[in-house]
Amino acid sequence: MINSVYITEYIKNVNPNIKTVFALSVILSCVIFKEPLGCIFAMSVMWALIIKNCRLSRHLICHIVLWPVLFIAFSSFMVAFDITNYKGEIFSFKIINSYFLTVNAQGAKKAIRLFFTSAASLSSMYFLSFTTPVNDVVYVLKTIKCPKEITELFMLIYRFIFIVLNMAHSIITAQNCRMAQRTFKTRINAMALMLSSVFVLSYNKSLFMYNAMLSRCYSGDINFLNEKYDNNRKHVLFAVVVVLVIVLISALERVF
Amino acid sequence: MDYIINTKGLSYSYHNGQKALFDVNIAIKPGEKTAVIGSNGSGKSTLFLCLNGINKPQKGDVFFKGNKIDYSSKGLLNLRRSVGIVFQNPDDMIFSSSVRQDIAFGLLNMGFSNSQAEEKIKSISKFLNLEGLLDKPVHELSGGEKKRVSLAGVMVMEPEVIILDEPGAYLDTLNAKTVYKIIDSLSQKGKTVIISSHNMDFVLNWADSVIVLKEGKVVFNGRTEDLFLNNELLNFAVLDEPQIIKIYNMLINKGVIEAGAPVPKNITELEMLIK
Repeated sequence: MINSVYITEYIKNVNPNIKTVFALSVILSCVIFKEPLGCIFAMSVMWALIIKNCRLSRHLICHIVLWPVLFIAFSSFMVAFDITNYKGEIFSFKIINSYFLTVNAQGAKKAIRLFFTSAASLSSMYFLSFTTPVNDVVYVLKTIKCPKEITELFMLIYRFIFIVLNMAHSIITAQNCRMAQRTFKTRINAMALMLSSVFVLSYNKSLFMYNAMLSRCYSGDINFLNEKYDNNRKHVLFAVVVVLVIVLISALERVF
Repeated sequence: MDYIINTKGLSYSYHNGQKALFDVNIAIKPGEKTAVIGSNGSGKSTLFLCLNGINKPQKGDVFFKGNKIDYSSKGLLNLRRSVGIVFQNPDDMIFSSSVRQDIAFGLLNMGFSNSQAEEKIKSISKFLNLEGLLDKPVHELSGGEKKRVSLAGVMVMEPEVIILDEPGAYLDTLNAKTVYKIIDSLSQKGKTVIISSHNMDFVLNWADSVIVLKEGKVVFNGRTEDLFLNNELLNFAVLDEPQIIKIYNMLINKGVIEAGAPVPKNITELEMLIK
């Protein structure tokens, strides 16, 4: 779904190394300081960039953001709780004898920090995912001198995700046409058959693909075409300024 | 006579013991348009894989320009520069993340530089109307687009011989017509084109010669018209008679045209014949 999002030519042409370093630096500065205001600023910048540069419907945003945010919120909420033998400052609930389920100010603060840090990091990851097509990821892997085997594997796995999903979808449709969903037992049986078929079919598919690669002079290495990107200094400057502002806000928040 | 590609006594069996080709002898001249036809499982795809050096025959030999295929990795690379193959299912051929990267695959393997590859990709994408798709992820392509991308990946390597395994498979009428036009243009450029097809009307109209396979054996190798006028052979090889031939035979039976009149290859030629 993320892959089919339309992105503007402008952001497409930005060097993926800059985008990656920018997103990682934002994550790092949020994780190091863990200050809510700094994280809120980081989130705002990231979502502003995403909305400006990607054509996203409200439905898609809700669909993509809802579950991770709920997960982060729930996990952070749980961090706020503690089991103590004294009453909590904010909340306490007697469990057994002298033990309480409590929420202290320190725990609540920790939960809030965790929530905003995770949400900011998630926003940065979304920025990277939306604006960096898989070719750009290959470019980044090549730049960081990632072993060729990993880059090749990454590309083939990426291709096979869609092939396997298509196969599974076709098989499930064919099974449903023959009442595979009638009972719990038939459902389980159909799923097992589908998984085994997908395994065998994808193995066959890989053999065909290998033949196709051989027929086009493959000799053990997959070579990638180097993409050309705009190495504009403005982009670097923008990234540096954003990261510095996050650091500054977080430092000021920590001091005051 | 000099042949660009020929086989002598070619036999091939799969690892599971299934015999796919028996004593196949074929010879194709440079620039010739050859159709290999036969029912499913007759050995067409196996023969094509042998011609490209992917399948190494257990018996017999394959020759390219009179030289026996050298199955060393260097020899195979040289062969594959000259003999390109487009598989039946385009999904088997496309494995890169974007159309541009996929078309570049063969070129980069052949040692072309990035700029040279870009130049060639630009030219082939213009020819195959793929210009707007170059940066698209391959899983988002339609069936027709995938077929054109798989063709582009081979055509861009500019092989002397292009083999197309059922080029019309998985395509609607419009996309199939586009692919057939591309095949025509390849022949006009002087390339040796070998196809397999179940579309007998296309075979009659396009091919200079036909090779008919049945259960791994060559049962006919000759002129297209000679095959389609031979009802006994068509029945034996379980092949359909082209519509044009059906009409041609009907017109002869009704006395509209004389027996022995030249066999029309398409509607235009049939119209001319009636006039």
